[in-house]
Amino acid sequence: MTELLFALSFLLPAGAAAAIACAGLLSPSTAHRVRRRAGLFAPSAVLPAGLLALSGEAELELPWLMLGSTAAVDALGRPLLMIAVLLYGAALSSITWLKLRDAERGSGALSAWLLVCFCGNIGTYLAADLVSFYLAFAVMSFAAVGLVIHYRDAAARRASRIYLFLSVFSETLILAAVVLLGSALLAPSEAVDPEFDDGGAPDAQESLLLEHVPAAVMDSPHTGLILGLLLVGFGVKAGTVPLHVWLPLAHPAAPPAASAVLSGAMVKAGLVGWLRFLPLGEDGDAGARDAVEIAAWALVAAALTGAFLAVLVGVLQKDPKVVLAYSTISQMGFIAALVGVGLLVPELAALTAGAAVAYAVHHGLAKGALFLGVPVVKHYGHGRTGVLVLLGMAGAGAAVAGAPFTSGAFGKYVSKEAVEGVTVLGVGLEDILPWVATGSTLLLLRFGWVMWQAERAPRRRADGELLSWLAVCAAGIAVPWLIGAQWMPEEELPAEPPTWEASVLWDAAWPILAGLALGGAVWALAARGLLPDWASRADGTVIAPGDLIVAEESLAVRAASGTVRGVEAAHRGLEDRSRSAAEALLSAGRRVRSWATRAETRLSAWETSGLVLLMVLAATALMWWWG
Amino acid sequence: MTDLIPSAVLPWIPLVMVVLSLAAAVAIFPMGERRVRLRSWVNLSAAVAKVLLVVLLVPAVVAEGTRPEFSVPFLPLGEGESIDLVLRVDPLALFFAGLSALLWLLTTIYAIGYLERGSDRSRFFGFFSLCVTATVGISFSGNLITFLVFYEILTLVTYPLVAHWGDEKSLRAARMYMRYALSGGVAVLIGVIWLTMYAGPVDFAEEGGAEGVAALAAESPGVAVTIFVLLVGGMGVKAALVPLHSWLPSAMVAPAPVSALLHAVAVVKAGVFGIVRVIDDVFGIEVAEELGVLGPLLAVACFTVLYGSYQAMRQTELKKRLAFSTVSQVSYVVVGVSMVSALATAGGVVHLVHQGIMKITLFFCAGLFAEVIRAHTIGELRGAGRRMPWTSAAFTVGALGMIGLPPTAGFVTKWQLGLGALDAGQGWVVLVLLGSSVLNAAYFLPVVWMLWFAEPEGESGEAPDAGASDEAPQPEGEPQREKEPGALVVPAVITAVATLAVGLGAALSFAPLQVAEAIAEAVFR
Repeated sequence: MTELLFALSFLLPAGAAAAIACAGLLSPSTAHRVRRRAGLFAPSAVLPAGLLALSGEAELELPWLMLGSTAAVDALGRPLLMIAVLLYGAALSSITWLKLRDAERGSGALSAWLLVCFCGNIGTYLAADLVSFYLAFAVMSFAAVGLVIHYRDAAARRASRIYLFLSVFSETLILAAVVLLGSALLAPSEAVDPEFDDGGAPDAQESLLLEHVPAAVMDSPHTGLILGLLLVGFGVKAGTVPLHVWLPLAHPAAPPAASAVLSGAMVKAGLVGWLRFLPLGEDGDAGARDAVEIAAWALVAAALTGAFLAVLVGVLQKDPKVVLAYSTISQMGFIAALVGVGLLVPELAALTAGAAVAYAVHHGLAKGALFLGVPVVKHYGHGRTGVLVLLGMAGAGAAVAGAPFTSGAFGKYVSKEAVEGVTVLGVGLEDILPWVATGSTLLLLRFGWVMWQAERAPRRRADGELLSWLAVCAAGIAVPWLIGAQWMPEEELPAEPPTWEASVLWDAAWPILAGLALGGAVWALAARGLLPDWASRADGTVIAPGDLIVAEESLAVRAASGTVRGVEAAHRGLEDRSRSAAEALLSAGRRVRSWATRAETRLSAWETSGLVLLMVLAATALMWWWG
Repeated sequence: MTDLIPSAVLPWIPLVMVVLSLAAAVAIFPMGERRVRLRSWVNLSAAVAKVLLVVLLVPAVVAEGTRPEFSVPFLPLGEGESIDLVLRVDPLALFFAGLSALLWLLTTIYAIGYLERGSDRSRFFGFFSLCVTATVGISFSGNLITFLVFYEILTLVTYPLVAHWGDEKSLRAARMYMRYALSGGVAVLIGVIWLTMYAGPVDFAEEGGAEGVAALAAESPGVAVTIFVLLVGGMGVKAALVPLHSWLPSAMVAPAPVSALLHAVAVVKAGVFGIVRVIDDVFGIEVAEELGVLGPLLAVACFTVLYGSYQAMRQTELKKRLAFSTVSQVSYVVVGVSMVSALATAGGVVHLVHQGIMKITLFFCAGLFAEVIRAHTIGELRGAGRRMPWTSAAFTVGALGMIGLPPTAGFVTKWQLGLGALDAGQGWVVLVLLGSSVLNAAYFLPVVWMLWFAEPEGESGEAPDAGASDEAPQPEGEPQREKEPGALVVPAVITAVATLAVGLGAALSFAPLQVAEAIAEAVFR
C-alpha cells in the first residue's frame, strides 16, 4: 500500500504533466481538449502525496533506481510534505478550475510546470539518500524556470536568466558537496571489505543514506569546505542574503500561483537541505567544531542581516508581489537564524530544527495565502465578497507577522524558546528575533496599502481561484496547530506548549504594535508632506527590486566581458604565434626544397657530372695510392 | 542462457560479427543507386543481427566469465611461431561492441532517412559498413597487432565518408583528417613494432597488463615510457586530445549520420578505447603508474576537458559547438582511466557508452534541425521548440546529460569520476569536473533557452505565449509545427530515452555502470 502511494505521489503528477506536454503533438482542437481535461485533473494529482503524509512515517527502498534509492516519510519531511500538497493543490486549482473565458492563456503549460516542480519539491522532502536528494533538488530547480518565464516578457526573461544563473551556481556547489560526502560515505566500507563491489548495490544504498551525512560532514578532513558549499549552495534556494537576489525578480514576474509555491514550498527545499546535511547536534574533533562554529556565525550573521535589511528595501517597493518577496526573504532570514543557532549549539539542535519546520509550515501557508490572494483581491476585493477577502488577507497578514492566536504566534513561540540563551554581540537572540515581526508588520502594512490602491477587475462568480485561496486560508488557521500538536516529535518542541497567559500574548503582540506605531508615524509624516522625497515616492526606483543584483549584474557583465576579452586576446596571440611558427617551418621547408632543387639542377648538368666523376675517380685513385 | 549458444560456436561469434558488416559492405557496393529497399534491407538485417549476437554474448561473457577467442596466424616469426590475428571477447570488448552495434543500427535507420534523396548512396553505405567492420574488429582485437590492423582500416574507410559531399570544404576536411590520422597511425605502428621486438606479441590481458611489458618496464623504463608515449600519442590523435584535436571540428562538414557515428562510436571512440586498452591491458595500471606516465596524461586530459569546453563556447555553429564538446567529453574517459582507482576507471570506462549515447542524440538532433528548418547556427534555433518538439526535447535531454544533471547518464559518469578522483587522492580533478560542468551549462543551456524560451524570428516580444497554449485555434504568427521525419527523429528519441534510462537504472545488473565496474575490478585485481 505504501509502495503504491509512493509511486502514485510521483507518477500521477508526472503523468498529468506528460499528458499536457504531449498534447501538443495532436491536432490543435484535440490538444486543447486534452490539456483542458488534464488541467482539470491536475489538482487531484497531488492527492496521493497528501495521503502519504497523512498515513504516517514510512520507508521505501528502490535498489534499482539510480545508484540505489531510498524514499522515506519522516518527522522532518512529513509536515513539509503536507504543506506542499496543500499549496500545490491550491495553486493548480486556482489556475485550472476556472471558466474557460477567465482562464489565462497557457495555463495548461503552467500547470504542467507546476506538476513537475511538485515532483521535485516533494522529492526533496522524501529523498532519504544523497543521490535521490540531489536529483529531486535539480528537477525542482530547473523546472522552476518554466514557472518564472511563463509570461515571456522582458521582466520574466531577465528574472529567469538570473534565476537560472544562480541555480547552476548552487547546483554546482551542491554537487561538489555531494561528491565529497559520497566519497566519505563510501570510503570506510571499502577499506574494511575489498570485495565490496561484488555486492555493491545494497551496501552502497545503505551507506549513501542521508542519515549518515551529518556525521560524515564532521568526520571529513574538509569539514569547513563542505559547510561552505552547503551553506551557499542551499542558501541560494533559501533566499539567504546576499544570494536572495532572484526572489524579488522571480516573484513579480511569475504568475501568482507560481509565486505562492515558490515562496511557500520551494524556498523551503533549501531549508530541508540544511536540516538534512548540516551537522546539527553532531560532535566532532576540535578542528571540525571550529569550522562549524565559523560557519554557524556566518549563517546567523547573513540571516539576521537579511531578516532586517529586507524590510528596509521592501517597504520602498510598489509592486505588491515584490513587497511579499522581501517579506519572504526576511522570514527566511528568521528561519536561517534558527538553523545557525542549531549549528552553533549542539544541545539546541533538535529544538531549533523543530522550530524551523514549525515556522516553515506556518510561513508556507500564510505566505501562500497572501500570494494567491493578489489576484483574488483584484477579482473579488469589492462588493459583497470584499469583506471576506479583507478578512482572509488580514488574517494571513497577521499570521505572517505573528499576531496572537494565529499560526505565526505558535511558530514564533517555539522559535523563541529554541534560541533562549544565545547571544549575538551581547544581545540575546530571543530579544532580537521579535523585532523581525515588527519588520514584517511594516512590510505587510506596505503590502496592504499597495493592494488597497490596486485596480479592481469586474467581479467574477466564485471559482477555483477564490475557493483555493479560501482553502489555504482555512488550512493556515488549522494545519500548523495540528501538525505541531500531532506530528512533531516531542524532543523537537519546547517543554511547555504555548499558553494564553497575558505575558505570552504580550510577547506576541508588542512587536506588532511597535510595527503599527511605526507605520502610523510614517503615514502621519507622509500625510503632512514631511517625508523626504525618496521615501514618499517609494515606487521601487530608489532601490530597484533585486537590490544587489543591479550592482552584481553590471559587475558580472563587466567582469565577464573583461575575461572574455582577455582570454580572446590570449587566444589570438597564441594563434598568431603558432601560425607564424608554422609559417616559419613552411618557409624553411621551401628554402630546403629550393636549395635541393638548385643543387639537383647543378648536379644534373653535363659539366658538373663530368666534374663529379673526375673527383670521384681522383678520390679513389688517392685512396688506392695511400693503400 | 548459455544453452542458447553451444560453447563450440562461441569462438566463432566475434568472427561472424566482423564478417557480417563486411559482407554487408560487399553486398552493397555493387548495388544500383536506386535499389533503396534492397540496400536498406541488407543494412538493417545485418545491424539487427549484430545487436542480437551481442545480446547473446552478454550473459556468457559478463556473468559466466567465458572468453570466446578466434585466432589465425598472421605474421610468421619462423620456427613455427607466428604473430596471430586474435579476436577475443572480454567484457570491455563486449562493452564497446555493444555500443557500436546498437548505435550502428540506429544510425543506419537515421542515415537511410537522411540520404533519402542523396547521391552516391551505395558508396556511402558500403563505406559505412566497412567503418563498422573496422570498429567491431577494434573492439574484439585480442592483441596489439590485430588492433593496429583494424585501426588503420578504420582510418582509410572513414575518408570517403567525411568527403562524401565532395565539395571543396569536405575534401579539405577529409585530407586534414587523413594527414592527422595517418601520422597518428605511424606513431602507433612504430610503438607496436618496437614493443613487439622487446616483449614479443602482446596480448591484451584483462588483469594487470601483459607480462612481457612488465619485464620491459622493469629493465629499461626509458624505452617503455617512449613506447607508451608513441602508442597513446598516436591514439590520442583519434581520441582528439589537445593539441592533436584540430581534425575533429573540421570533419563535422560530413553528413550528419557520419558525424554522429564519428563522434559517438567509431573514430574518436576507437582512439580512446585504444588508450584504455594500452593503459589497462597492455601496460597494466600499476606498471603505468610506476613508469610515471599517468600523471602527465591526466594533466593533458584535464586540459583537454577544459579547453574543449572553452572552444565550444566560442562557436556559434551548432555542429562545431558539438564537435568541440566531443573533444572535451571524450577526454573524461582518459581522465578516468589515468587515475589509479577502481572507481575512476569504472567512471572512465562507463563514459565510453554514456558519451556515445548522449552525443549521438545531439548530433541526430543537429542534423534534424539542419534538414527540417535549415538551422545551422544557434541563433537560427530561436523558438524551434514549438516547431520541432520531439527533436528539441531529445536535444534538451542530451544537453542536460552533457552538463551532468541527474538522472541522466552524464550524472552517473560525473559522480563516478568525482568519487574516483577523491579515492585516488587527486582532489583537484573534482574541480576540473565541476568547471567542466559549469562550462557545459554555459554553452548548452543557451541552446536549450533558444529552443524553448526565445521568441521566434520576426515576432515581437509583446505577445505573451506559453509552450502549450490553451487556445484552440492557432493564432496568426504562431509557428507551425514542422514535420519531423520519422526515420530521423525516432533514433534521436530512442537515444534520448536511453540517456535517461541508463542513468535511472544505473544500479541494475548489466547496466553500463555495473559492467564498467566489473571491468574496473578486473583491472585492479
